[in-house]
Amino acid sequence: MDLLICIDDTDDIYSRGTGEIAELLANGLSARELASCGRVTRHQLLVHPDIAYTSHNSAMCFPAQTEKKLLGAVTTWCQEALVAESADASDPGLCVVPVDLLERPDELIAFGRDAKQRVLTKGEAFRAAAQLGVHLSEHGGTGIGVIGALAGAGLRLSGDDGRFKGKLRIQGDASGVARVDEILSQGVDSVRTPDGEVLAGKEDIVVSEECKLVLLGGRAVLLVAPAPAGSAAAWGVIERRALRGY
Amino acid sequence: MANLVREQGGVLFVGTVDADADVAIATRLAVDCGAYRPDDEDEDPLAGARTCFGCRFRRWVSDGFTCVRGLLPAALPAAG
Repeated sequence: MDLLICIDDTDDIYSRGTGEIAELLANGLSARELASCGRVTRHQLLVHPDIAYTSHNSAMCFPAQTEKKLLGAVTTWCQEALVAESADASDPGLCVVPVDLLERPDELIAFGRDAKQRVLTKGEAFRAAAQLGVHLSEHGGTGIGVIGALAGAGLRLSGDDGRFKGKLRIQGDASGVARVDEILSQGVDSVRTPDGEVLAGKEDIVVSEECKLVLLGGRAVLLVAPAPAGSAAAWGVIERRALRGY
Repeated sequence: MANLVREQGGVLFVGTVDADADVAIATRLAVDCGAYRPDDEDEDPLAGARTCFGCRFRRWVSDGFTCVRGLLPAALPAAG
């Protein structure tokens, strides 16, 4: 069965970040053969004075495939690992979504989108999780991380939110140029512009050593834009700061 | 253009990573700051550049950021 596992509020300003802990969970599940896990995505939630967040209010989510009989073991191990790895002063929340069993996925997605627009409460998160049949648990502190954990799962489920954790090192030629079809063989599902123009396989792109992917249409997308005059190719990877809205 | 606003909770840097002038000022602040510490790569909007925007101790607010170490100065430096 397909799962989405999402965590939030696991860190403080001095500890390792929530993204690193999400990767620890994903790698730990895979190493224990409890699940086969995919890449972690980061989902930005509302920044607002009434929300208690460490520094940026983002949740981290990853997909996992497991056997139905292992669902309980997966959840329990994630809970234990979250408690062990989270910062003492944090307020961690964990959400585990059995995607195949969701009867109203639109409601989970709507919760995620809501969390980007308005201040939500723990009560709203727990009520939504209970109605949707989704695991949601708190693991210390105020437990306020349950809001982001549920919201992040909804945003990942939408397929149209967030950035993939980490950088992708795309191999280019001596000029730093790679063809789209070469890029598509290196862990990228699509190369397109922010406006939605999908580039054909023969197009050349100026790549960098620090390419970031975003989640759009359920795919790992490399965003590009026309390169400045005099560049080695007509297209280039868009500036990192332009990804802040994803 | 970047600005510093004194609020009840401390000093707020009003500015955006999308404006080169604001980035230049945040760069100057970070270069002069002994407490600067790069945030996780995933939280750094400028890919490794030394600016307050990418510092572990900045806390985003809707118009900019605050410094959780309370190290924003009383006045902005000149960009440089």
